Amino acid sequence: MNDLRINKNKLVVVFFILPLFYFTQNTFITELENINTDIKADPSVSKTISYFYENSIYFLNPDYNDGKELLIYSYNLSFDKVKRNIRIKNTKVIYKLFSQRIFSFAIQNDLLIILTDPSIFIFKIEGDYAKNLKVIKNQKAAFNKIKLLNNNEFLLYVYYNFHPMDAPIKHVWAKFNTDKLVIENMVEHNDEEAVYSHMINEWVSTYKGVIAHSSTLKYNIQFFNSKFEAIDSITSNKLDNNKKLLPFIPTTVSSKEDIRELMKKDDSLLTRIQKIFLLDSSTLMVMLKLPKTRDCEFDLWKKKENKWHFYKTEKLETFYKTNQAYNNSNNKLNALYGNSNAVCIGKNQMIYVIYTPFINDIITDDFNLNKDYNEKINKMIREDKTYYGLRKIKILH
Amino acid sequence: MDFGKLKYCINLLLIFTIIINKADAQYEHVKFDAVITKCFDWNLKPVNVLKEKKRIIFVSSVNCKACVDYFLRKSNLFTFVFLLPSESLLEIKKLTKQFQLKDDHVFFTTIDYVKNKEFCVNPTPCFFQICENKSLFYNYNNLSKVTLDFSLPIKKFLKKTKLQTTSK
Repeated sequence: MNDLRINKNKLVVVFFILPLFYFTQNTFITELENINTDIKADPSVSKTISYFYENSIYFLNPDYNDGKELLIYSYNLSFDKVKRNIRIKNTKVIYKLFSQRIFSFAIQNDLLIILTDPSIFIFKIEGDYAKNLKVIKNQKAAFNKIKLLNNNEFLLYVYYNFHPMDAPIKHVWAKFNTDKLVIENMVEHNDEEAVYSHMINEWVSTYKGVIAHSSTLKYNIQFFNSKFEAIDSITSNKLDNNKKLLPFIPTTVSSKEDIRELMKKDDSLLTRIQKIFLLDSSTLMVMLKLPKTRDCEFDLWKKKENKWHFYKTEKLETFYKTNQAYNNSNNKLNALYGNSNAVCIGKNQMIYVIYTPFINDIITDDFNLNKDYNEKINKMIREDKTYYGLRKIKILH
Repeated sequence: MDFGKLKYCINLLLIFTIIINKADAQYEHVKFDAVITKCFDWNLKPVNVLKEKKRIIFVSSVNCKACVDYFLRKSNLFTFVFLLPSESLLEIKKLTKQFQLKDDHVFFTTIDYVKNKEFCVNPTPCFFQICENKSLFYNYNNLSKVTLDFSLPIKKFLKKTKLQTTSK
C-alpha cells in the first residue's frame, strides 16, 4: 500500500510545472505590463502613431494640433516616465503640417522626419524644439510609412489602392538618405492585392538593413536587402484555401459601397496575413485574420542555419467576450489588432503598444460590456481622467 | 421679363417637377421600419426624442462624412440620431470629433435599442432614414431624394445654365 501513496513534494512540483509546460508549449506572446503613462489623452483620439528610438517611445495624435504647436511625446522605458517632449512651432514654411493628418514619423540621432499627404517635413531636434531643415513634396508617390533601414537610410513605403486621379502608382518603395536629405531608389512593386489596403494592414517590417514584405492572400513573405534585392523567403500552404474563394471576392473597387461589400466578403470568407513583425534578423511573427471572427492567429518563424522554420502558433482574442470569466491567468487580448493603437518593435523581441484610454485589465466572473468596460471608461471621461496606456509585450520562445 | 430668364425658370421648374415625381414614385419601393426604443443625450441620459421630433436621420460611424456634414448643415430641418455600438461616452467623443458635432439636434441610441437587426448589422455608407408618417430608407444611391439640392444632376444643371447666362 505504501508504494501507491503519492509523495506530497512530487505533487507540488508537478502542480507548478504543469502550467509552465502548458505555457511553453502553446504560447509565446506574453504581456509583461499594462501601465498608465500619466500622459493625458483626449478621449476623442481615434488613432495614435509611434516610433521606437534609443529605449524611448515617441508618439503623437496624428489628427490633433492647435494650429500653433505640434507635440511629440517621448516616454522613456528605462525609467517608465515621460522624457523630454519634442515641440514644433507653426511657421509660414511648414503651415501645411498643421492642416494635414500625419501618416508616419521617424527619429534618428537629431533628425525628425514627418510624412503627410502633400509633403515630407524634415526637422533637426534642438533641445525641446524641432527646427525645420527641408520640405519635400510627397505627391509623386504619396508615401505613408517610414521605417529605419540603416544608420543613414530609411525605407519610404506606400501600398494603397489610390484612385488613379489621386496617385498614379499604388505600391512604391524608396530610400530616404539622411546625409543628403533626398529620396532615392524609387521602385514600383506589384499591386495586385491593392484592394486589401483598405483594410487593416502592416505588410512591411524592417530590421537592420533587412526588409520583410508579405503578400496578404498567399502565405509568401519575402526578404530584401537595403538595395531592394530579394535575399530570402518564407512560403507555406496554410492559405491555399483562398484560391477557391477568390472568384467570389471583388478584385477592383470604385466606391465606398464597393469597399463595404469587399469588407463583408473578406470578413466572412478569407484567412489572410494582416500584419508582420520582424523582431530581429532571425525571428518573424505573422498575424493572420480569420474568417467570421475578430480573433487573430499568430505564427512564429525562426531562422536557423540559414533556413526559416515554422516554430509555434497562438490564437488571441481581440476583446473580452460576453459571459466569459477573466482572471490574471487568462487576461490576454490582442493589443496588436487594428489601426488605432500605436505599435512599435523595440529591442530584445519586445513590442510596445500605446493605446487610449488606459484601463486596468478586467477581472470578472461574467463579462458584461456595459458593466465591466463602458461604465468604467464613461466614469473616466466624466472625471476627465483619460490617459495614454502602454502595454509591454514580450515574445518568448 | 427677359425671355432667357423665363426659359431658365421654366427649365428649372420642369426639372424639379420631374425629380419630385420620380422621388415620390420611389418612396413606395423603399419602405423600411426601424423602431427605436430608447435615445440618449450627450451625457448618455435617456431622452424622449421620438415623440417630439418627426424628421429623423439615423447616422452611424461608417456613414460618408461629406453626406453627414451636408445634413448637419440642415439642422433646422432634421433631428439626428447617431447609432452607437454600445452605451459609450468614448464613442460619442469619437463621433463628435469625426463629424464635428455641436448641434443640439443631435441624439444617440445603441444597436440594442433598434428593433431591426438589418439596420444595425449591415450599415452601409450613407445610411439614413426619415420618419414622418411612414418610414423611409435611403442609401448612397437614393439619398438625393431626401432633399433636392443634394442632387448632383441638379447641381450640374444649375452650374451649366449659370455659366450660359453669364456668358451671354
